[in-house]
Amino acid sequence: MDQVRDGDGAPRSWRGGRLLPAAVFVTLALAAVVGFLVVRSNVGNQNRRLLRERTGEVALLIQSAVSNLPTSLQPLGVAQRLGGTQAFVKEANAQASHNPTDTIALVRTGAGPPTVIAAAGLAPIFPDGTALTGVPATAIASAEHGKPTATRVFRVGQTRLIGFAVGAPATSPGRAVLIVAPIHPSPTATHTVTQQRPFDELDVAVYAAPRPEQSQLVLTTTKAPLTGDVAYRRIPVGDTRWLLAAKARDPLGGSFPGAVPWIILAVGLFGAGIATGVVLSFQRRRDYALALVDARTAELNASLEELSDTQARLVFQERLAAIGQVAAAVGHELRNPLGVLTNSLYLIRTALPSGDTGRIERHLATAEREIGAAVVIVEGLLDFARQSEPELEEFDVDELVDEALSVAAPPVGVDVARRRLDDVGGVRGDRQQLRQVLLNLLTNAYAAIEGEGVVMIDAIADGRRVEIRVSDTGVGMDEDTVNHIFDPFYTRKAKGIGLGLAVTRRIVEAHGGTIAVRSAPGEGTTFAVRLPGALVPSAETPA
Amino acid sequence: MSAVLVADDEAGMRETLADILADSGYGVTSAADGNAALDAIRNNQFDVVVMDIRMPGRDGVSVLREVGTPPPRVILMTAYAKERHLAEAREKAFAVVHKPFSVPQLLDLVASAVRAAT
Repeated sequence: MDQVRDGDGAPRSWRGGRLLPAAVFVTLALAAVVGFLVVRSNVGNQNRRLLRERTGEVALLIQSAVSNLPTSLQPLGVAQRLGGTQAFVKEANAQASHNPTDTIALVRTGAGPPTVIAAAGLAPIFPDGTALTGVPATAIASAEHGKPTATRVFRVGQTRLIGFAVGAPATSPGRAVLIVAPIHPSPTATHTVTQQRPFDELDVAVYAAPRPEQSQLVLTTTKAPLTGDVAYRRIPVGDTRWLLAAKARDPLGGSFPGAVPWIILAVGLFGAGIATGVVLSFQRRRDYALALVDARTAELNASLEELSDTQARLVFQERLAAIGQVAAAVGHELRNPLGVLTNSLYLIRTALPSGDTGRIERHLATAEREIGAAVVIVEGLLDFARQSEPELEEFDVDELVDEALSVAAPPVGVDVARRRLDDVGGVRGDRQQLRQVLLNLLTNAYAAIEGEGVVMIDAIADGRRVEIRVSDTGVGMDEDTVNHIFDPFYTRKAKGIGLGLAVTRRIVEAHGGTIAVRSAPGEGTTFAVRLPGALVPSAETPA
Repeated sequence: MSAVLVADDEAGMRETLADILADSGYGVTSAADGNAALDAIRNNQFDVVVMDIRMPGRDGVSVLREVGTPPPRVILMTAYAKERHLAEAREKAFAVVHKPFSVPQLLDLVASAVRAAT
């Protein structure tokens, strides 16, 4: 790991980009946060909707309770209207005995401030004859218009009070009934009545005003002020309106929905962490693999380079070896004619004083012959080195054989037989090169014959293909020799450069043909040269 | 007159050497290959044999191996630097010369071989 982190590995890992894991984390975390917010908003909306519903129920309860108040005032009005003040006081005292803190007063209305005619209760707030002012006077003024009315919360001394007034037609004209009760808007006072729904789920506060004025607080179920998600509902009381404020003690939809957004957030963040970890892990693996590939590629390239160098060196060495082989073959082969030339020159020099021109001529002829032999060796090499394209012309196979035989006449003891050469007629090819082929095959055939034997030259025409065979009754060749017979510098002769058959094959192949050999030890040898398309149709055969 | 056998498959070499040695007063016999040389040596008494190493049929070193005792003084000739049996040739032959050689030096060698034989 460290190996591949070094060098090319480190920059490669940056190529992968460290932004991807961060992007994955941020995206998933954002999705989690958005999910959290959406679900929390939904849960909040649900809770607020439920709160509004419950608050509505509470408001209806309170409204119904408040609307019952005029009904409870009704018997007082009836008693006053039918029985006068005495009957009213009797009825009022009967009612006040149930609610000892209440003050029930009969008030005269009309010109001037409302004045208390009679007051019932254990400790009436207003004694008989009191002229009412402020809040009670305003409420009575409203009640005179025919509607039962609630007063705002007002104080007498340290006592907080609230009252209800009703006028004609519940009472006689010019008369009104006012009930005033002290209020203690403490939580403990209300607990006994808030044990049932909807109160058990809510903390509520009721104000005897359309706004949450602390001075107008009629009742509350909690000492703490209501904050946060608070629902408000206005309740018509007579011709005024009260305000109901309510807040859920616990989430109304239950505690689980409230946990859902947090679960989503937690799972989302956890998932984002896991996904980022997986991405990082894959990235690290990929970086490692890429770095490994880089390292291996570099190694491979180095190996390839080394291989290429080695190959070039080998090729160069092979070339040197080949050049050495050529130089050795040619150099050694030339030593024979050079040796003979040296001898001839010595003989000529020694013959000169005698003036024996016959002898001198003979030695000069020998020298010339050896020079010719040297030239043949050099030309053999040049033939091999030369890659000349065949120059095509038309000629007779028979004539070509004549030419070859005139250059390479059979040695003593060797007969040459010719078959079907006349039948073949004209062929197209490079005359010089094909004569060289025949010469090489003939000299090989001669060399293969020890003592007496026959060399057969045969030609077969097949369509436009012509096949020329040179067979001998010589010693033949074993398989290994046959396999290498066309290799350059391969020779079985005691002397010879070993290029004849290599040149022969090259010429035949340059003509688009093939050369084959069949031989076995003691059974002679046959070379077959096949030249496709070389045959000239008989109509075009030169005369 | 000392008898010398010249054995070489190259006609030019064989003939010129025969002429040179005859001119120098030796009785010269020629052989064109290894088998002929072996026959000649077995059937005649030569003081010196001048013989090529590479010949068809049987090479010069092989001839040297086959001749009986006492072997004639043999001067081997070769055109090749890397002769297969050169070490054996040097050991068994009176001398090994490389073509092309100086004719007077060869004549000196033949003369000393003749002296050593007698």
